[in-house]
Amino acid sequence: MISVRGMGKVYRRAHGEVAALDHVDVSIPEGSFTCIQGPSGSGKTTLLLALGGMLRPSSGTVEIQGRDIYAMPPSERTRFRADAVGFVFQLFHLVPYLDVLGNLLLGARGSRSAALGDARELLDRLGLADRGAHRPAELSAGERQRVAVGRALIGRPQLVLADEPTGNLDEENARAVFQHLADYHRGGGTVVCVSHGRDTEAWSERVISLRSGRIEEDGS
Amino acid sequence: MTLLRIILSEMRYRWVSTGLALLGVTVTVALFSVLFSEGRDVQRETRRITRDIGYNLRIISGATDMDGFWAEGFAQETFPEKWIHRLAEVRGLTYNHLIGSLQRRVEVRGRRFVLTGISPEYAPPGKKKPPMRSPVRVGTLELGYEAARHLEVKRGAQLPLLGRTFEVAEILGESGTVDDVRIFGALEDVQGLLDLPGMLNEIQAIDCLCLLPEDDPLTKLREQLTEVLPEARLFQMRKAADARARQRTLVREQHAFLLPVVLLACAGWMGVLLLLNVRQRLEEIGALRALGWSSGRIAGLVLGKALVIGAFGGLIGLLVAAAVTTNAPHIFPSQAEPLGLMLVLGILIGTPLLCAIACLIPAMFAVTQDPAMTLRGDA
Repeated sequence: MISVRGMGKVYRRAHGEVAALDHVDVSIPEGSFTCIQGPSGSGKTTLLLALGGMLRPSSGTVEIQGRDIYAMPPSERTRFRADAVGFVFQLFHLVPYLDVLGNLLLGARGSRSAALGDARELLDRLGLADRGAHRPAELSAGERQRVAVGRALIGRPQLVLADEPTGNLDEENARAVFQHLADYHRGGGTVVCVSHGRDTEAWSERVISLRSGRIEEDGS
Repeated sequence: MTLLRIILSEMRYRWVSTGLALLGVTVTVALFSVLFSEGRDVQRETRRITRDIGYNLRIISGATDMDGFWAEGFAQETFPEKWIHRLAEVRGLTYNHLIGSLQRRVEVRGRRFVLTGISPEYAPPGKKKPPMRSPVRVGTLELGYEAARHLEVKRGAQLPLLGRTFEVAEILGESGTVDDVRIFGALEDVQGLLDLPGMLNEIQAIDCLCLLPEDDPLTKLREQLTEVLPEARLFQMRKAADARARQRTLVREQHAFLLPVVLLACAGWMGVLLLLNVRQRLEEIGALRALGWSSGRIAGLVLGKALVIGAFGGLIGLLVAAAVTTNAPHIFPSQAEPLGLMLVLGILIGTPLLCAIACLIPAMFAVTQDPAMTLRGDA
Protein backbone atom coordinates (compact mmCIF):
# COMPACT_ATOMS: atom_id res chain seq x y z
CA MET A 1 0.00 0.00 0.00
CA ILE A 2 1.26 3.46 -0.97
CA SER A 3 -0.05 6.27 1.17
CA VAL A 4 0.57 9.91 0.29
CA ARG A 5 -0.51 12.44 2.93
CA GLY A 6 -0.56 16.20 2.54
CA MET A 7 2.15 16.17 -0.09
CA GLY A 8 3.28 19.53 -1.42
CA LYS A 9 6.21 20.33 -3.63
CA VAL A 10 7.52 23.80 -4.31
CA TYR A 11 10.30 24.43 -6.84
CA ARG A 12 12.46 27.44 -6.24
CA ARG A 13 13.22 29.16 -9.50
CA ALA A 14 15.15 32.34 -10.30
CA HIS A 15 11.91 34.21 -10.88
CA GLY A 16 10.18 32.87 -7.77
CA GLU A 17 8.55 29.76 -6.36
CA VAL A 18 6.42 27.35 -8.35
CA ALA A 19 4.05 25.02 -6.52
CA ALA A 20 4.02 21.74 -8.44
CA LEU A 21 1.93 19.83 -5.90
CA ASP A 22 -0.42 21.26 -3.35
CA HIS A 23 -1.58 19.11 -0.44
CA VAL A 24 -2.12 15.87 -2.32
CA ASP A 25 -3.64 12.91 -0.46
CA VAL A 26 -3.85 9.59 -2.21
CA SER A 27 -3.71 5.90 -1.37
CA ILE A 28 -2.69 3.29 -3.92
CA PRO A 29 -3.39 -0.32 -2.98
CA GLU A 30 -0.82 -3.01 -3.55
CA GLY A 31 -1.31 -4.89 -6.81
CA SER A 32 -3.30 -2.10 -8.46
CA PHE A 33 -2.83 -0.45 -11.86
CA THR A 34 -3.32 3.28 -11.41
CA CYS A 35 -3.17 5.96 -14.04
CA ILE A 36 -2.37 9.56 -13.14
CA GLN A 37 -3.60 11.91 -15.82
CA GLY A 38 -3.41 15.61 -16.33
CA PRO A 39 -2.15 18.32 -18.64
CA SER A 40 1.51 19.32 -18.84
CA GLY A 41 2.64 21.09 -15.68
CA SER A 42 -0.06 19.56 -13.52
CA GLY A 43 2.50 17.84 -11.26
CA LYS A 44 2.19 14.25 -12.53
CA THR A 45 5.90 13.58 -12.97
CA THR A 46 6.68 15.30 -9.68
CA LEU A 47 4.22 13.02 -7.91
CA LEU A 48 5.65 9.94 -9.64
CA LEU A 49 9.25 10.82 -8.76
CA ALA A 50 8.22 11.53 -5.17
CA LEU A 51 6.51 8.11 -4.99
CA GLY A 52 9.73 6.48 -6.14
CA GLY A 53 11.89 8.17 -3.53
CA MET A 54 13.60 10.33 -6.14
CA LEU A 55 12.22 13.73 -5.15
CA ARG A 56 11.76 14.84 -1.56
CA PRO A 57 8.43 16.64 -1.13
CA SER A 58 8.42 20.09 0.45
CA SER A 59 5.70 18.92 2.82
CA GLY A 60 3.73 15.77 3.64
CA THR A 61 4.73 12.13 3.73
CA VAL A 62 5.00 9.18 1.39
CA GLU A 63 4.57 5.81 3.06
CA ILE A 64 5.12 2.54 1.27
CA GLN A 65 4.18 -0.58 3.20
CA GLY A 66 3.91 1.55 6.32
CA ARG A 67 7.35 3.16 6.04
CA ASP A 68 7.87 6.84 5.39
CA ILE A 69 10.45 6.66 2.65
CA TYR A 70 11.69 10.22 3.20
CA ALA A 71 12.33 9.49 6.87
CA MET A 72 14.82 6.85 5.78
CA PRO A 73 18.51 7.74 5.57
CA PRO A 74 19.52 8.37 1.93
CA SER A 75 21.48 5.10 1.67
CA GLU A 76 18.48 3.12 2.88
CA ARG A 77 16.18 4.94 0.49
CA THR A 78 18.59 4.11 -2.33
CA ARG A 79 18.51 0.44 -1.33
CA PHE A 80 14.74 0.55 -1.11
CA ARG A 81 14.56 2.01 -4.61
CA ALA A 82 16.91 -0.65 -5.91
CA ASP A 83 14.92 -3.47 -4.31
CA ALA A 84 11.33 -2.31 -4.59
CA VAL A 85 10.88 0.21 -7.40
CA GLY A 86 11.21 0.07 -11.17
CA PHE A 87 11.09 3.21 -13.30
CA VAL A 88 10.09 3.59 -16.95
CA PHE A 89 10.62 7.00 -18.55
CA GLN A 90 9.16 8.63 -21.63
CA LEU A 91 12.66 9.27 -23.02
CA PHE A 92 13.78 5.71 -22.11
CA HIS A 93 17.01 6.93 -20.47
CA LEU A 94 18.87 3.85 -21.60
CA VAL A 95 22.64 3.84 -21.19
CA PRO A 96 23.82 4.48 -24.74
CA TYR A 97 27.13 2.63 -24.57
CA LEU A 98 25.73 -0.63 -23.20
CA ASP A 99 23.95 -3.15 -25.37
CA VAL A 100 20.39 -4.25 -24.66
CA LEU A 101 21.52 -7.07 -22.40
CA GLY A 102 23.84 -4.73 -20.51
CA ASN A 103 21.03 -2.22 -20.01
CA LEU A 104 18.75 -4.91 -18.64
CA LEU A 105 21.44 -6.14 -16.27
CA LEU A 106 21.80 -2.64 -14.77
CA GLY A 107 18.48 -3.22 -13.02
CA ALA A 108 19.18 -6.84 -12.06
CA ARG A 109 19.72 -8.12 -8.54
CA GLY A 110 21.37 -11.28 -7.27
CA SER A 111 23.99 -13.47 -8.85
CA ARG A 112 25.29 -12.76 -12.32
CA SER A 113 24.27 -16.11 -13.76
CA ALA A 114 20.73 -15.81 -12.38
CA ALA A 115 20.49 -12.23 -13.64
CA LEU A 116 21.70 -13.29 -17.05
CA GLY A 117 19.06 -16.02 -17.18
CA ASP A 118 16.35 -13.56 -16.13
CA ALA A 119 17.54 -11.05 -18.72
CA ARG A 120 17.41 -13.58 -21.55
CA GLU A 121 13.97 -14.73 -20.52
CA LEU A 122 12.77 -11.12 -20.39
CA LEU A 123 14.25 -10.41 -23.81
CA ASP A 124 12.24 -13.33 -25.12
CA ARG A 125 9.03 -12.07 -23.52
CA LEU A 126 9.64 -8.55 -24.79
CA GLY A 127 10.23 -9.83 -28.32
CA LEU A 128 13.85 -8.66 -28.26
CA ALA A 129 15.60 -12.03 -28.23
CA ASP A 130 17.63 -11.16 -31.31
CA ARG A 131 18.48 -7.66 -30.09
CA GLY A 132 20.51 -8.49 -27.00
CA ALA A 133 23.81 -7.35 -28.50
CA HIS A 134 22.44 -4.17 -30.05
CA ARG A 135 22.98 -0.73 -28.64
CA PRO A 136 20.02 1.57 -27.97
CA ALA A 137 20.93 3.72 -30.99
CA GLU A 138 20.38 0.69 -33.20
CA LEU A 139 16.83 0.12 -31.94
CA SER A 140 13.49 1.65 -32.86
CA ALA A 141 11.68 3.81 -30.30
CA GLY A 142 9.29 0.96 -29.49
CA GLU A 143 12.15 -1.46 -28.96
CA ARG A 144 13.96 1.01 -26.74
CA GLN A 145 10.91 1.45 -24.57
CA ARG A 146 10.50 -2.31 -24.29
CA VAL A 147 14.12 -2.50 -23.11
CA ALA A 148 13.33 0.23 -20.56
CA VAL A 149 10.32 -1.79 -19.37
CA GLY A 150 12.52 -4.87 -19.13
CA ARG A 151 15.11 -2.95 -17.12
CA ALA A 152 12.39 -1.84 -14.71
CA LEU A 153 10.99 -5.36 -14.35
CA ILE A 154 14.13 -7.47 -14.15
CA GLY A 155 14.69 -6.80 -10.45
CA ARG A 156 11.13 -8.01 -9.72
CA PRO A 157 10.11 -4.78 -7.95
CA GLN A 158 6.90 -4.41 -5.96
CA LEU A 159 6.15 -1.12 -7.69
CA VAL A 160 6.64 0.08 -11.26
CA LEU A 161 6.40 3.80 -11.90
CA ALA A 162 6.01 4.69 -15.55
CA ASP A 163 6.28 8.30 -16.68
CA GLU A 164 4.51 8.73 -20.03
CA PRO A 165 5.92 5.40 -21.20
CA THR A 166 4.13 5.61 -24.55
CA GLY A 167 4.58 9.34 -25.16
CA ASN A 168 7.05 8.75 -27.98
CA LEU A 169 5.51 5.60 -29.43
CA ASP A 170 3.06 4.77 -32.18
CA GLU A 171 -0.15 3.00 -31.31
CA GLU A 172 1.13 -0.51 -31.91
CA ASN A 173 4.24 -0.06 -29.84
CA ALA A 174 2.26 1.73 -27.11
CA ARG A 175 -0.07 -1.25 -26.93
CA ALA A 176 2.89 -3.61 -26.62
CA VAL A 177 4.37 -1.58 -23.75
CA PHE A 178 1.06 -1.46 -21.89
CA GLN A 179 0.65 -5.16 -22.46
CA HIS A 180 3.96 -5.83 -20.69
CA LEU A 181 3.01 -3.56 -17.80
CA ALA A 182 -0.39 -5.25 -17.58
CA ASP A 183 1.29 -8.68 -17.53
CA TYR A 184 3.45 -7.52 -14.65
CA HIS A 185 0.35 -6.20 -12.87
CA ARG A 186 -1.48 -9.50 -13.37
CA GLY A 187 1.48 -11.16 -11.68
CA GLY A 188 0.75 -9.13 -8.54
CA GLY A 189 2.81 -6.02 -9.19
CA THR A 190 1.69 -2.47 -8.55
CA VAL A 191 1.79 -0.06 -11.51
CA VAL A 192 1.45 3.70 -11.38
CA CYS A 193 1.46 5.19 -14.83
CA VAL A 194 1.49 8.87 -15.67
CA SER A 195 0.01 10.12 -18.89
CA HIS A 196 -1.25 13.38 -20.24
CA GLY A 197 -3.52 11.64 -22.74
CA ARG A 198 -6.27 9.09 -22.30
CA ASP A 199 -4.37 6.12 -23.76
CA THR A 200 -3.69 4.60 -20.33
CA GLU A 201 -7.27 4.52 -19.16
CA ALA A 202 -8.13 1.26 -20.90
CA TRP A 203 -5.37 -0.55 -19.05
CA SER A 204 -5.96 0.99 -15.61
CA GLU A 205 -8.24 0.08 -12.76
CA ARG A 206 -8.23 3.62 -11.49
CA VAL A 207 -7.63 7.05 -12.98
CA ILE A 208 -6.53 10.03 -10.90
CA SER A 209 -6.69 13.43 -12.59
CA LEU A 210 -4.34 16.17 -11.51
CA ARG A 211 -4.64 19.85 -12.34
CA SER A 212 -2.40 22.61 -11.05
CA GLY A 213 -0.88 20.33 -8.45
CA ARG A 214 -4.17 19.18 -6.95
CA ILE A 215 -6.27 16.08 -7.40
CA GLU A 216 -9.17 17.13 -9.56
CA GLU A 217 -10.84 13.75 -9.86
CA ASP A 218 -10.19 10.30 -8.43
CA GLY A 219 -11.94 7.64 -10.43
CA SER A 220 -11.38 4.81 -8.04
CA MET B 1 27.50 -6.06 -14.81
CA THR B 2 30.74 -4.97 -13.10
CA LEU B 3 31.70 -1.34 -12.67
CA LEU B 4 34.93 -1.91 -14.62
CA ARG B 5 33.03 -3.35 -17.56
CA ILE B 6 30.68 -0.37 -17.58
CA ILE B 7 33.64 2.01 -17.38
CA LEU B 8 35.45 0.30 -20.25
CA SER B 9 32.30 0.25 -22.38
CA GLU B 10 31.78 3.97 -21.79
CA MET B 11 35.41 4.71 -22.64
CA ARG B 12 35.08 2.78 -25.90
CA TYR B 13 31.81 4.51 -26.74
CA ARG B 14 33.12 8.04 -26.05
CA TRP B 15 36.47 7.28 -27.61
CA VAL B 16 37.22 10.87 -28.64
CA SER B 17 37.01 12.32 -25.13
CA THR B 18 38.65 9.19 -23.72
CA GLY B 19 41.42 9.53 -26.29
CA LEU B 20 41.95 13.17 -25.39
CA ALA B 21 42.17 12.36 -21.71
CA LEU B 22 44.51 9.46 -22.41
CA LEU B 23 46.63 11.66 -24.66
CA GLY B 24 46.82 14.32 -21.96
CA VAL B 25 47.96 11.82 -19.34
CA THR B 26 50.38 10.12 -21.73
CA VAL B 27 51.99 13.41 -22.76
CA THR B 28 52.18 14.53 -19.15
CA VAL B 29 53.76 11.32 -17.93
CA ALA B 30 56.20 11.26 -20.84
CA LEU B 31 57.08 14.92 -20.27
CA PHE B 32 57.33 14.44 -16.52
CA SER B 33 59.52 11.36 -16.87
CA VAL B 34 61.81 12.98 -19.42
CA LEU B 35 62.02 16.20 -17.40
CA PHE B 36 62.60 14.29 -14.21
CA SER B 37 65.23 12.05 -15.72
CA GLU B 38 66.85 14.78 -17.77
CA GLY B 39 66.60 17.24 -14.90
CA ARG B 40 68.31 14.79 -12.61
CA ASP B 41 71.08 14.38 -15.17
CA VAL B 42 71.40 18.11 -15.71
CA GLN B 43 71.59 18.65 -11.97
CA ARG B 44 74.26 16.00 -11.65
CA GLU B 45 76.16 17.42 -14.62
CA THR B 46 75.85 20.92 -13.17
CA ARG B 47 77.19 19.69 -9.87
CA ARG B 48 80.13 18.10 -11.66
CA ILE B 49 80.84 21.17 -13.78
CA THR B 50 80.53 23.61 -10.91
CA ARG B 51 82.74 21.36 -8.80
CA ASP B 52 85.32 21.45 -11.56
CA ILE B 53 85.38 25.24 -11.34
CA GLY B 54 87.52 24.38 -8.34
CA TYR B 55 87.88 25.29 -4.70
CA ASN B 56 86.21 28.50 -3.72
CA LEU B 57 87.19 28.82 -0.07
CA ARG B 58 90.67 29.53 1.26
CA ILE B 59 91.53 29.22 4.93
CA ILE B 60 94.79 30.65 6.16
CA SER B 61 96.30 31.66 9.46
CA GLY B 62 94.74 34.70 11.05
CA ALA B 63 98.25 36.11 11.47
CA THR B 64 98.90 36.16 7.72
CA ASP B 65 100.34 39.34 6.23
CA MET B 66 97.71 39.89 3.52
CA ASP B 67 99.93 42.18 1.38
CA GLY B 68 102.48 39.41 1.13
CA PHE B 69 99.76 36.83 0.62
CA TRP B 70 98.26 38.56 -2.39
CA ALA B 71 101.65 39.53 -3.81
CA GLU B 72 103.07 36.03 -3.45
CA GLY B 73 99.88 34.05 -4.04
CA PHE B 74 100.15 32.10 -0.79
CA ALA B 75 100.72 32.78 2.91
CA GLN B 76 104.16 32.77 4.45
CA GLU B 77 102.64 32.06 7.83
CA THR B 78 102.00 28.44 8.63
CA PHE B 79 99.63 26.71 11.02
CA PRO B 80 99.37 23.18 12.39
CA GLU B 81 98.14 20.44 10.09
CA LYS B 82 95.70 19.36 12.82
CA TRP B 83 93.48 22.30 11.83
CA ILE B 84 92.30 20.40 8.82
CA HIS B 85 91.53 17.37 10.98
CA ARG B 86 89.54 19.55 13.37
CA LEU B 87 87.53 20.95 10.50
CA ALA B 88 86.95 17.47 9.09
CA GLU B 89 85.56 16.30 12.40
CA VAL B 90 82.85 18.93 12.66
CA ARG B 91 79.38 17.58 11.92
CA GLY B 92 77.14 19.92 9.95
CA LEU B 93 79.95 21.92 8.43
CA THR B 94 78.94 23.32 5.06
CA TYR B 95 82.47 23.06 3.63
CA ASN B 96 83.52 19.99 1.75
CA HIS B 97 86.48 18.66 -0.25
CA LEU B 98 88.93 20.00 2.35
CA ILE B 99 92.52 19.84 1.16
CA GLY B 100 95.55 21.16 2.99
CA SER B 101 98.65 22.52 1.31
CA LEU B 102 102.11 23.79 2.14
CA GLN B 103 103.60 26.09 -0.51
CA ARG B 104 106.91 27.76 -0.89
CA ARG B 105 108.92 29.22 -3.76
CA VAL B 106 111.91 27.07 -4.57
CA GLU B 107 114.69 27.39 -7.11
CA VAL B 108 115.49 24.41 -9.30
CA ARG B 109 118.11 24.55 -12.02
CA GLY B 110 118.13 28.36 -11.86
CA ARG B 111 114.37 28.76 -12.21
CA ARG B 112 111.78 29.50 -9.54
CA PHE B 113 108.79 27.28 -9.04
CA VAL B 114 106.10 26.90 -6.42
CA LEU B 115 106.67 23.74 -4.45
CA THR B 116 103.27 22.59 -3.22
CA GLY B 117 102.66 19.74 -0.86
CA ILE B 118 99.08 18.58 -0.84
CA SER B 119 97.29 16.47 1.70
CA PRO B 120 94.69 13.85 0.95
CA GLU B 121 91.17 15.27 0.64
CA TYR B 122 89.01 15.29 3.77
CA ALA B 123 85.28 15.52 4.17
CA PRO B 124 83.16 16.39 7.19
CA PRO B 125 81.29 13.41 8.74
CA GLY B 126 78.63 12.05 6.42
CA LYS B 127 79.74 14.12 3.45
CA LYS B 128 82.29 11.80 1.93
CA LYS B 129 82.44 12.28 -1.83
CA PRO B 130 84.84 11.21 -4.55
CA PRO B 131 87.94 13.43 -4.26
CA MET B 132 88.33 16.32 -6.68
CA ARG B 133 92.03 15.66 -6.96
CA SER B 134 93.84 12.39 -6.66
CA PRO B 135 96.60 12.53 -4.03
CA VAL B 136 100.27 12.63 -4.96
CA ARG B 137 102.02 9.43 -3.98
CA VAL B 138 104.83 9.76 -1.45
CA GLY B 139 108.20 9.83 -3.21
CA THR B 140 106.76 11.17 -6.43
CA LEU B 141 106.12 14.59 -7.94
CA GLU B 142 103.59 15.99 -10.36
CA LEU B 143 104.85 18.84 -12.50
CA GLY B 144 102.90 21.74 -13.89
CA TYR B 145 103.09 22.23 -17.64
CA GLU B 146 105.64 25.07 -17.62
CA ALA B 147 107.66 23.49 -14.82
CA ALA B 148 108.06 20.29 -16.82
CA ARG B 149 108.93 22.25 -19.96
CA HIS B 150 111.62 24.32 -18.25
CA LEU B 151 113.07 21.37 -16.34
CA GLU B 152 112.91 19.26 -19.52
CA VAL B 153 111.64 16.18 -17.75
CA LYS B 154 109.06 13.62 -18.76
CA ARG B 155 106.86 11.27 -16.91
CA GLY B 156 108.89 8.57 -15.18
CA ALA B 157 112.05 10.69 -15.00
CA GLN B 158 114.01 11.14 -11.79
CA LEU B 159 114.17 14.72 -10.53
CA PRO B 160 116.54 15.87 -7.77
CA LEU B 161 114.87 18.42 -5.49
CA LEU B 162 116.29 20.08 -2.36
CA GLY B 163 118.63 17.19 -1.69
CA ARG B 164 116.23 14.30 -2.49
CA THR B 165 115.37 12.57 -5.73
CA PHE B 166 111.77 12.02 -6.76
CA GLU B 167 110.08 10.17 -9.59
CA VAL B 168 108.00 12.38 -11.88
CA ALA B 169 104.68 10.61 -11.74
CA GLU B 170 102.66 13.04 -13.86
CA ILE B 171 103.03 16.02 -16.16
CA LEU B 172 99.93 18.14 -15.84
CA GLY B 173 98.21 19.78 -18.79
CA GLU B 174 98.46 23.50 -19.39
CA SER B 175 96.03 25.20 -17.00
CA GLY B 176 96.69 28.88 -17.62
CA THR B 177 97.15 29.44 -13.88
CA VAL B 178 99.96 29.42 -11.36
CA ASP B 179 99.52 25.61 -11.33
CA ASP B 180 101.60 25.58 -14.52
CA VAL B 181 104.70 26.48 -12.48
CA ARG B 182 103.94 24.28 -9.51
CA ILE B 183 105.75 21.19 -8.44
CA PHE B 184 103.25 19.09 -6.55
CA GLY B 185 104.37 16.60 -3.97
CA ALA B 186 102.87 14.58 -1.14
CA LEU B 187 102.37 16.80 1.88
CA GLU B 188 104.69 14.84 4.13
CA ASP B 189 107.47 14.92 1.49
CA VAL B 190 107.18 18.69 1.09
CA GLN B 191 106.99 19.23 4.85
CA GLY B 192 110.23 17.26 5.10
CA LEU B 193 111.93 19.16 2.26
CA LEU B 194 110.95 22.52 3.79
CA ASP B 195 111.67 21.39 7.32
CA LEU B 196 108.15 22.28 8.38
CA PRO B 197 106.86 18.98 9.73
CA GLY B 198 103.13 18.93 10.55
CA MET B 199 102.57 22.38 9.13
CA LEU B 200 100.32 23.85 6.41
CA ASN B 201 99.90 27.33 5.09
CA GLU B 202 96.48 26.94 3.46
CA ILE B 203 93.37 24.85 3.48
CA GLN B 204 91.16 24.97 0.42
CA ALA B 205 87.56 23.82 0.35
CA ILE B 206 84.30 24.08 -1.51
CA ASP B 207 81.43 25.92 0.04
CA CYS B 208 78.34 23.69 -0.04
CA LEU B 209 75.93 26.34 1.15
CA CYS B 210 75.46 27.49 -2.43
CA LEU B 211 73.83 30.69 -1.28
CA LEU B 212 73.37 33.50 -3.74
CA PRO B 213 75.52 36.61 -3.11
CA GLU B 214 72.48 38.54 -1.88
CA ASP B 215 72.10 35.98 0.92
CA ASP B 216 75.57 36.88 2.26
CA PRO B 217 77.12 33.42 2.40
CA LEU B 218 80.49 34.74 3.60
CA THR B 219 79.20 35.86 6.98
CA LYS B 220 77.62 32.44 7.55
CA LEU B 221 80.77 30.64 6.47
CA ARG B 222 82.96 32.78 8.70
CA GLU B 223 80.65 32.18 11.65
CA GLN B 224 81.07 28.45 11.15
CA LEU B 225 84.84 28.74 10.95
CA THR B 226 85.14 30.98 14.01
CA GLU B 227 83.39 28.35 16.09
CA VAL B 228 85.93 25.69 15.14
CA LEU B 229 89.11 27.65 14.38
CA PRO B 230 88.94 31.14 15.84
CA GLU B 231 92.60 31.70 14.99
CA ALA B 232 92.01 31.10 11.26
CA ARG B 233 90.95 33.44 8.54
CA LEU B 234 88.62 32.60 5.67
CA PHE B 235 87.87 34.23 2.41
CA GLN B 236 85.86 33.21 -0.54
CA MET B 237 86.78 33.28 -4.20
CA ARG B 238 83.64 35.17 -4.97
CA LYS B 239 83.32 34.77 -8.70
CA ALA B 240 83.75 31.02 -8.60
CA ALA B 241 81.47 30.68 -5.59
CA ASP B 242 78.80 32.95 -7.07
CA ALA B 243 78.88 31.20 -10.44
CA ARG B 244 78.53 27.86 -8.70
CA ALA B 245 75.70 29.04 -6.47
CA ARG B 246 73.80 30.78 -9.27
CA GLN B 247 74.04 27.89 -11.70
CA ARG B 248 73.07 25.26 -9.17
CA THR B 249 70.22 27.35 -7.83
CA LEU B 250 68.93 28.06 -11.32
CA VAL B 251 68.90 24.41 -12.34
CA ARG B 252 67.35 23.30 -9.05
CA GLU B 253 64.63 25.94 -9.19
CA GLN B 254 63.82 25.27 -12.83
CA HIS B 255 63.42 21.63 -12.00
CA ALA B 256 61.35 22.36 -8.93
CA PHE B 257 59.10 24.69 -10.94
CA LEU B 258 58.59 22.66 -14.10
CA LEU B 259 57.60 19.33 -12.58
CA PRO B 260 54.69 20.60 -10.48
CA VAL B 261 53.51 22.74 -13.40
CA VAL B 262 53.37 19.68 -15.63
CA LEU B 263 51.47 17.73 -12.97
CA LEU B 264 49.02 20.56 -12.34
CA ALA B 265 48.41 20.93 -16.06
CA CYS B 266 47.62 17.23 -16.28
CA ALA B 267 45.33 17.36 -13.27
CA GLY B 268 43.52 20.37 -14.70
CA TRP B 269 43.15 18.73 -18.10
CA MET B 270 41.75 15.53 -16.59
CA GLY B 271 39.46 17.46 -14.27
CA VAL B 272 38.00 19.56 -17.08
CA LEU B 273 37.56 16.62 -19.44
CA LEU B 274 35.83 14.48 -16.85
CA LEU B 275 33.67 17.36 -15.71
CA LEU B 276 32.50 17.73 -19.32
CA ASN B 277 32.06 13.98 -19.43
CA VAL B 278 29.88 14.03 -16.33
CA ARG B 279 27.77 16.85 -17.74
CA GLN B 280 27.30 14.77 -20.86
CA ARG B 281 26.16 11.84 -18.70
CA LEU B 282 23.64 13.54 -16.43
CA GLU B 283 20.75 11.68 -18.02
CA GLU B 284 22.52 8.37 -17.57
CA ILE B 285 23.40 9.22 -13.97
CA GLY B 286 19.75 10.13 -13.31
CA ALA B 287 18.63 6.79 -14.73
CA LEU B 288 21.17 4.90 -12.64
CA ARG B 289 19.96 6.74 -9.56
CA ALA B 290 16.42 5.68 -10.41
CA LEU B 291 17.71 2.10 -10.62
CA GLY B 292 18.98 2.41 -7.07
CA TRP B 293 22.65 3.13 -7.65
CA SER B 294 24.27 4.59 -4.55
CA SER B 295 26.39 7.76 -4.46
CA GLY B 296 29.47 5.64 -3.96
CA ARG B 297 28.77 3.62 -7.11
CA ILE B 298 28.06 6.76 -9.13
CA ALA B 299 31.31 8.34 -7.87
CA GLY B 300 33.00 5.04 -8.68
CA LEU B 301 31.98 5.43 -12.33
CA VAL B 302 33.85 8.74 -12.55
CA LEU B 303 36.80 7.93 -10.31
CA GLY B 304 37.14 4.48 -11.81
CA LYS B 305 37.37 5.99 -15.26
CA ALA B 306 40.05 8.38 -14.00
CA LEU B 307 41.97 5.46 -12.48
CA VAL B 308 41.78 3.44 -15.70
CA ILE B 309 42.89 6.39 -17.82
CA GLY B 310 45.64 7.14 -15.31
CA ALA B 311 46.87 3.55 -15.36
CA PHE B 312 46.90 3.27 -19.16
CA GLY B 313 48.21 6.81 -19.66
CA GLY B 314 50.95 6.23 -17.09
CA LEU B 315 52.08 3.04 -18.78
CA ILE B 316 52.03 4.47 -22.31
CA GLY B 317 53.69 7.68 -21.12
CA LEU B 318 56.49 5.70 -19.50
CA LEU B 319 57.07 3.74 -22.70
CA VAL B 320 57.17 6.98 -24.70
CA ALA B 321 59.58 8.54 -22.20
CA ALA B 322 61.83 5.49 -22.25
CA ALA B 323 61.88 5.53 -26.04
CA VAL B 324 62.65 9.25 -26.16
CA THR B 325 65.40 9.25 -23.55
CA THR B 326 67.17 6.24 -25.00
CA ASN B 327 66.74 7.00 -28.70
CA ALA B 328 67.23 10.75 -28.91
CA PRO B 329 70.66 11.51 -27.45
CA HIS B 330 70.98 14.48 -29.82
CA ILE B 331 68.00 16.07 -28.05
CA PHE B 332 69.12 14.99 -24.61
CA PRO B 333 72.89 15.38 -24.70
CA SER B 334 73.37 14.25 -21.14
CA GLN B 335 72.04 10.86 -22.30
CA ALA B 336 69.61 10.28 -19.52
CA GLU B 337 69.94 6.98 -17.78
CA PRO B 338 67.12 4.52 -18.27
CA LEU B 339 64.20 5.52 -16.05
CA GLY B 340 64.84 4.36 -12.51
CA LEU B 341 62.74 1.67 -10.88
CA MET B 342 61.46 4.05 -8.23
CA LEU B 343 60.39 6.54 -10.89
CA VAL B 344 58.60 3.82 -12.86
CA LEU B 345 56.83 2.52 -9.78
CA GLY B 346 56.03 6.04 -8.62
CA ILE B 347 54.48 6.88 -11.97
CA LEU B 348 52.54 3.63 -12.30
CA ILE B 349 51.02 4.13 -8.86
CA GLY B 350 50.99 7.92 -8.74
CA THR B 351 49.40 8.65 -12.12
CA PRO B 352 46.10 6.85 -11.47
CA LEU B 353 45.98 8.43 -8.03
CA LEU B 354 46.68 11.90 -9.41
CA CYS B 355 43.97 11.41 -12.04
CA ALA B 356 41.52 10.25 -9.38
CA ILE B 357 42.33 13.26 -7.20
CA ALA B 358 41.91 15.55 -10.20
CA CYS B 359 38.48 14.02 -10.76
CA LEU B 360 37.18 14.47 -7.25
CA ILE B 361 35.31 17.60 -8.31
CA PRO B 362 33.64 15.93 -11.32
CA ALA B 363 32.79 12.96 -9.08
CA MET B 364 31.27 15.28 -6.48
CA PHE B 365 29.37 17.00 -9.26
CA ALA B 366 28.00 13.66 -10.45
CA VAL B 367 26.98 12.61 -6.96
CA THR B 368 25.34 15.86 -5.97
CA GLN B 369 23.29 16.29 -9.12
CA ASP B 370 19.60 16.04 -8.40
CA PRO B 371 18.51 13.11 -10.60
CA ALA B 372 14.93 14.30 -10.52
CA MET B 373 15.98 17.47 -12.35
CA THR B 374 17.39 15.43 -15.22
CA LEU B 375 14.60 12.92 -15.30
CA ARG B 376 11.98 15.67 -15.33
CA GLY B 377 13.86 17.27 -18.19
CA ASP B 378 14.90 20.37 -16.19
CA ALA B 379 18.64 19.92 -16.50
